Amino acid sequence: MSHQFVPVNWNRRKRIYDLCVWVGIVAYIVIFVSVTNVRFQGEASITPVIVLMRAFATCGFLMLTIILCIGPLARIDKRFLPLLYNRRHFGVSFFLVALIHAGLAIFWYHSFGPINPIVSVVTSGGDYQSLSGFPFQLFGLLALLVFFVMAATSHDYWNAVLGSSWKSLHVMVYPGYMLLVLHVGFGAMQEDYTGILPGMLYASVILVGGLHLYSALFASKAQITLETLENWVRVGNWQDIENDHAITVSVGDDERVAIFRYDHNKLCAVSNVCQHQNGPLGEGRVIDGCITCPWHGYQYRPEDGCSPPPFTEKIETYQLKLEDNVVFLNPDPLPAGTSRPVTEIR
Amino acid sequence: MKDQERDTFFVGYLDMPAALRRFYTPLTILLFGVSGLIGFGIASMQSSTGAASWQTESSETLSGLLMVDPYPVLHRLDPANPDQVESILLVNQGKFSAEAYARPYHNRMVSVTGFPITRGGWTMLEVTAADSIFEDQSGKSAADVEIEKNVTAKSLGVVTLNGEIADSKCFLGVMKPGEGSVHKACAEVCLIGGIPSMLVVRDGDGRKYGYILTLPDGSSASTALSGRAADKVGVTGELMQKGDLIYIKISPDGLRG
Repeated sequence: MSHQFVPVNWNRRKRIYDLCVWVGIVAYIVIFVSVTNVRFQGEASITPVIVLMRAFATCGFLMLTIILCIGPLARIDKRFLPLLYNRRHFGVSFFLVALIHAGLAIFWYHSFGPINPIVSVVTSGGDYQSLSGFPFQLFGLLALLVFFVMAATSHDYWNAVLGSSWKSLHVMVYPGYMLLVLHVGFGAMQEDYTGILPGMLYASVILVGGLHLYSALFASKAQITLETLENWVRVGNWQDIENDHAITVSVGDDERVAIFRYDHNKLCAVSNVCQHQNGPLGEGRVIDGCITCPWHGYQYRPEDGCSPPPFTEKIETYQLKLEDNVVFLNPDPLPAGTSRPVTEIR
Repeated sequence: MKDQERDTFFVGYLDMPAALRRFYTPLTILLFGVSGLIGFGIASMQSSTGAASWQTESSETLSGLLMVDPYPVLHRLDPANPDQVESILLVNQGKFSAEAYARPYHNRMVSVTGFPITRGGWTMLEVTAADSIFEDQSGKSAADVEIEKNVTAKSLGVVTLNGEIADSKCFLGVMKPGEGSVHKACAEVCLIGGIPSMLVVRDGDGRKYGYILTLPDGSSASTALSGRAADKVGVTGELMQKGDLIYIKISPDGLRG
């Protein structure tokens, strides 16, 4: 967790994850290049740099599509959470693939001429006054800048330094994706007479958009409507909460509370937001006596919302009371790390 | 909590539950398979760029009459058909014209060493240094006289053709594909660098024909057309033949689209 920062935070699971990602990347590039070289030979061969440029471009787009599907898939089916666990390494790998594509394009199309290659990327290749002729390179360059900022700030160090801004910054993946869609739409798609690139682009947009929409509807169905009685809100029967699990309730516009049952007869309420990356604690479990985040395994003690030593994260806690098997929640949060009496089921 | 109770709850630093392992083995294979199929599909459905080559490993030395009119061209008797003249465009390395190297030898018999670029009946020579061109001191032969007779510009009438504005170096084989909107920025830089501009016209069967473009006064159109690189345009102008090269001298207001 947070007691020290290392350049790359690896463990066995992350190494397996990264190995799969990079084996996938290498296999994709090898397949793409081999198929191209078998199909187009001799004087009909496609320039090797252009083959590589296309291979890295399509590989990167496929990677970003998968990355954007992981979040909603994990909300719909918890079995996809392990994909989310190391998504940042997947994202950085995607950035490196995109960077290789951009480097090849700048090297091959914009270099060796009378204009500075970077100036050429910005100034050449299109008509800024025309929608159909708008230079697609600019969309690609802007997308690359967005993904660079995200990759550069992906480390936990930046997560800790930037605080809540980190999440807002990393939501930029969606504008980045849209820029990439425009980059392909105004660029390579214009030259594709086979229909495969438009097909890939539309499939990606429909898949990413559809999964996000479906997961949003799925999450809204899981919301619990609360009945307010004086300063307490009625949550429901404690027997509806599975042991070592939680239910999540909304108490304000943006505020969600996770109510856990653990040790079979104890109840506690904490903020639903993990201090690490805003993971949904209510979808976590109690493991070894600690509330455990489903995203990266960050842990908090149920009694006070503090991470066990040597870790230092703290989350807000809430007061509960039990009347005739019905759980009531005080929606006013206590300061992060505040201890309060454990609610016991008798 | 016992492992069997954790069912499918994943914590990265703990052992993966057996149910999740059973889920991820086929999922990983499926993801690899689908990704491989996508790569296979996209790669196999790429369009052909046609037969063209850029010989970068061994240079050739060709002799003939060098003219810069407006682009550097070496005219020689076609080795396969000595009754005809073969006209070879000269370009510099990278995205630059060879005019600076060729200009001192305008209208002289020379030998030029460079790397051949070929597509169909076209040949271009990439000249890499000023000393790649040297004047032939042996005097004018009968063959040289024959060449001079055949390189006088002949008008073939006024035409209107629809096609794409390209830079001839990339189109003829340095880049495959060396045309189209993805290649637009490269073509633009090439044309700014003085590479001869060309109108690439496709017939109904997809065969491509190239026409060298000049301005109405016969000067290079490359810089003037750089902003229109890769655009699909209609060109009206006087069709001219010099050697075996076909030019279009674009009429004033002769560019549409």
